[in-house]
Amino acid sequence: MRMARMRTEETVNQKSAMNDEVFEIFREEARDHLGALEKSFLDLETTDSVEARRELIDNAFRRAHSLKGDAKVVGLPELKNAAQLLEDILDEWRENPQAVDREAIDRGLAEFDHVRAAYESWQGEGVADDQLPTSDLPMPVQRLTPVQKPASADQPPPTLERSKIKNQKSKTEESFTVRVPSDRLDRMLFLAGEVRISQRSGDTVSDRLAALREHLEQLKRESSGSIDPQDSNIENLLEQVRRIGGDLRNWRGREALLVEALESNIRHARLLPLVMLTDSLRRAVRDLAQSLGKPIRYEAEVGDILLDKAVIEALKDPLQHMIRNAADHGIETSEQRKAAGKPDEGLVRITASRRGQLVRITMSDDGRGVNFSQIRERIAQRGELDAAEISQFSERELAKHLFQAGFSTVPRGDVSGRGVGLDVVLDTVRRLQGNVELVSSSSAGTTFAITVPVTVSTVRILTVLAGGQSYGIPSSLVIRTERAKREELRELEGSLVLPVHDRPVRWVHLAELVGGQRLQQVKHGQAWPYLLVAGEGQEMAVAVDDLEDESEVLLKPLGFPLTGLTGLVGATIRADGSVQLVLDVVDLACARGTHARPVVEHKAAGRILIVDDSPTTRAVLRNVFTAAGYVVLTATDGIDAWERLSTQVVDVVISDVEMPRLNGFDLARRIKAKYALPIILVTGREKEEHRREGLAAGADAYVVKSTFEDQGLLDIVEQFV
Amino acid sequence: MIRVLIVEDSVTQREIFRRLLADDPELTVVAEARDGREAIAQVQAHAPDVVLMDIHMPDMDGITATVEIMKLCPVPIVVASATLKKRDVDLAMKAYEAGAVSVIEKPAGAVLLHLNKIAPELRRELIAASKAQIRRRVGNGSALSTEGRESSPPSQTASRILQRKNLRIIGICASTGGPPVLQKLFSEIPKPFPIPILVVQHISRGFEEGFARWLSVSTGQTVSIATAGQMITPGVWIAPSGRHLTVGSEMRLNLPRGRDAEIHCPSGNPLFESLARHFAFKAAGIQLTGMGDDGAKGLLALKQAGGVTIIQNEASCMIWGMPKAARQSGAATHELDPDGIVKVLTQVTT
Repeated sequence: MRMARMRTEETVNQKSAMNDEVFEIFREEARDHLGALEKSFLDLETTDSVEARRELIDNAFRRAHSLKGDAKVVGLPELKNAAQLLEDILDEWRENPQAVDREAIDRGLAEFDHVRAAYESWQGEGVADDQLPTSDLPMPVQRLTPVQKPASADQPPPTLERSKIKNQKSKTEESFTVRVPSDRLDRMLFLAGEVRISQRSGDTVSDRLAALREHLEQLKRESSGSIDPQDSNIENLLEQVRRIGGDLRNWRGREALLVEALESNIRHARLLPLVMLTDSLRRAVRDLAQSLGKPIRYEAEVGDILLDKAVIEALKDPLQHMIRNAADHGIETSEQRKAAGKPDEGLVRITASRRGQLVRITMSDDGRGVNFSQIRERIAQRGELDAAEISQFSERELAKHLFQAGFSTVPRGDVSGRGVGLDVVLDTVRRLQGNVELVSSSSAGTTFAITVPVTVSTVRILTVLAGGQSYGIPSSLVIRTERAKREELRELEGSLVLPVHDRPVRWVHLAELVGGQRLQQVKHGQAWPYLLVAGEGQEMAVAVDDLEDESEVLLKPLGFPLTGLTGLVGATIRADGSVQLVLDVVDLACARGTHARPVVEHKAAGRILIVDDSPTTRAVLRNVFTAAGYVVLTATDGIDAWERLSTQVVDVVISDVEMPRLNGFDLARRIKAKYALPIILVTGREKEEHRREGLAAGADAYVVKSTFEDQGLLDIVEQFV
Repeated sequence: MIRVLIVEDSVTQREIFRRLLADDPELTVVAEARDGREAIAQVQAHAPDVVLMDIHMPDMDGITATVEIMKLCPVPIVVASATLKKRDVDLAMKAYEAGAVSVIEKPAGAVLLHLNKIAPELRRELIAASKAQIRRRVGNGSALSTEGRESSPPSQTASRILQRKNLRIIGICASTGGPPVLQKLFSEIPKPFPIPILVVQHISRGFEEGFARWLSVSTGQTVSIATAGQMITPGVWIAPSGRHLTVGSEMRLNLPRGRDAEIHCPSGNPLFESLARHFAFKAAGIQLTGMGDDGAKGLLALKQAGGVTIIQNEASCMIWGMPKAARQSGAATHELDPDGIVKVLTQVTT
């Protein structure tokens, strides 16, 4: 017996036994209990009928009791004791359910927090020591702010939060449900991915078989005419090879389908109900309501929508943040609400709906709405755009500014404003291949919508060619691919549109979106492939030079300094080892469509040569500068750059220092000797001597990678153009 | 093989119980249930030999389920209490009233590391319980009702077995099935009972206080846990676990520690032997239901010293083990069912 051997030092063995299945079971069960306990406490606050209260308390009591018992048998005395105290409180409550008032519930929740802390500290130890999986749902609901009791005692606290969660009878475990630790599912998904990869070696086999067949066909052609008895043999072999080829194709097709089914099943197994998340947010609302002294009702109607565990976990912080913003800045004080003719109790409401592989979660409040004139003021304060331009921004465009880093509608020094942290929200959601937008805002309330894919483990991308480069585009963005001829396009208000189902759809070429290049001249009658993508509120046709393939890839986030660039979702490694950028075309198109366009028009388009041996850096810098309206040329090292300069005219050279063949310092010397051309060195070397060497070599600016930001680099370049 | 049904709502604890009983040569888990309702269904479906029953469960708790099972298709039930906290123990005692054979505490602390230390205790309880003769309960009636069964010989019940002037002290030894008998005896004899009663009841460690409290509340007698050096006064004195209960020369209680080799501590033998030594014919010894032969040797000594010895009759015993051993050794003077014992004890006060 496995356990029987472990009998020496208890504490040591306790940890090695941590991997035991019993702990896995216990971990899951305890988490269930914690979630249910918290829910019971919160429900209790809003339940009036004696019977219902009694039932809630009984249920909570049983949970606490079970948790105590479980903690005891698996040998966790701290957790057992904490649960025991909670059980004691609940037992008292059973005597008189009506006597349980708000203060009692506060006490209960405080005791509950101890239980959860004990659970988590055990979890934490286990993870640190044994690398156990940390699936953390429902996650701890941290108090966003310390709870303050109302200052004056004679002012009774209002009923702060009342929540109403419909449509969710908590499903207890089914008779034949198996609990599987999430890391096992991760491993299964990973293995399914490995199967897919190993399937690719089938390509080589097919190729070799095809080569063999060609060879045989060749032989047959060569020998045709002659009356060689070998002929029939060749014909025979050829026939066999064809048959094997056919079988191979069939088998591979079937296998591909099976692997796909396997993968999608594993993925399905990772799905958790969204209601777990929305439930865990109730506590946040309650605590916020209490600390702000505003009565807030919380409603969540998310039906039975399921999302990947990773998505649910990642969504928690953004949602919590948005709720905090709503409670803090959206929902008015009682007096203000009264004056505005609104009910005393504020409302925070979360709904969700599913469309295909996407889930749209909306979060609305019935507060005062976003102050657009304040946003205009803030934009004006930045001094980038003049008042006339700003006044032309639509509310939708203004709302985008809310999601920019460091943007807040409340002046610095004051409490945090509406936009605080929304950039982080956007960033998190983007990482999930999702998007956040302000749906509507008026004095009656504000609605934000988060759209995320159901799963995120891998991304399916379409590889397309545009302007001689290949890019990945998440398939989730693409509604379908089509071809359209030049003559199908129409001009509408100065831009090209394609009628799709009798509706004009904005037409744009990807090369134009990415590189600011002119649309290529296409011969009459030739058709462009294009992708119909779901834009914000409307569809859009993105033309490409060619469609390569669709594949499932692991998306890698771009590291510093390439984070947070508009339109870039990440990068993936191609089969040949090259880096391929994955683009959010919708985002790109919107960036081009709004504030990026004036930039193009106002700046005399300078020509820049970017020299860097890293393809990723090249690709990213190209994006930065093309987005800013420059024409960008690239070179892979000093020699390459030197050769390009002999045939191309540029205004500025931006070069890396460390490069093969000819480094940045030497390139600078050569350039300065021959051309009157500004050169900016961008480098990871921060030492003063390097800077001196760079400047001695003739560089006009020396930018250290760890300090530069896109804007900073753009500013420097601007000085030289 | 003894077929076990585990009733427990916690998945963790089910898993642990399953492991504790895995690979057992005598026990096999035939089914599991997650609440009282499922338990009833599983008992009917699998007819297990013994049920291990949790108390707090959703839908239907363990006590209610025990009552129902005892009504529908009686089977020995061992109730597992989460802890020895007063609340848990008090509930566990309710299980006796409901018809449970015995009550145990759930294993605690790093159970996984000590499976082979903890498992034997659980096995012993389950095996003992599985031997119990369980009778169908009608309505809320007691399992001890003698209705429809052959009662003790009338000649014995009719005669005056005990004389007031002679009797100074009574000793009782009981094991599995004992608590409900004791409850019945103490509720039906006059209260307060004028003669001290010393009780050795084999019960899981830690339950004795709750057991005493339950007896006291449910019978109206003064029931206390015996303390060393205590003057022996009228009332019921329960032996604490881990100590024998004996009487000393000066009408005081002694609580000597058991020796390692002893299976039972407290045990009926030292109790009866001390009664024989210090009270002889002024003492009565009663041997109740239970597995094994504890108390038989002591009861014989008491009989030889001239004391009155009574054993519970076979028909009313949950387990006809200890009384049988006493009879075989010739220690038994009288053989009575609980009603008979009540009558005999009541005669003392009249």
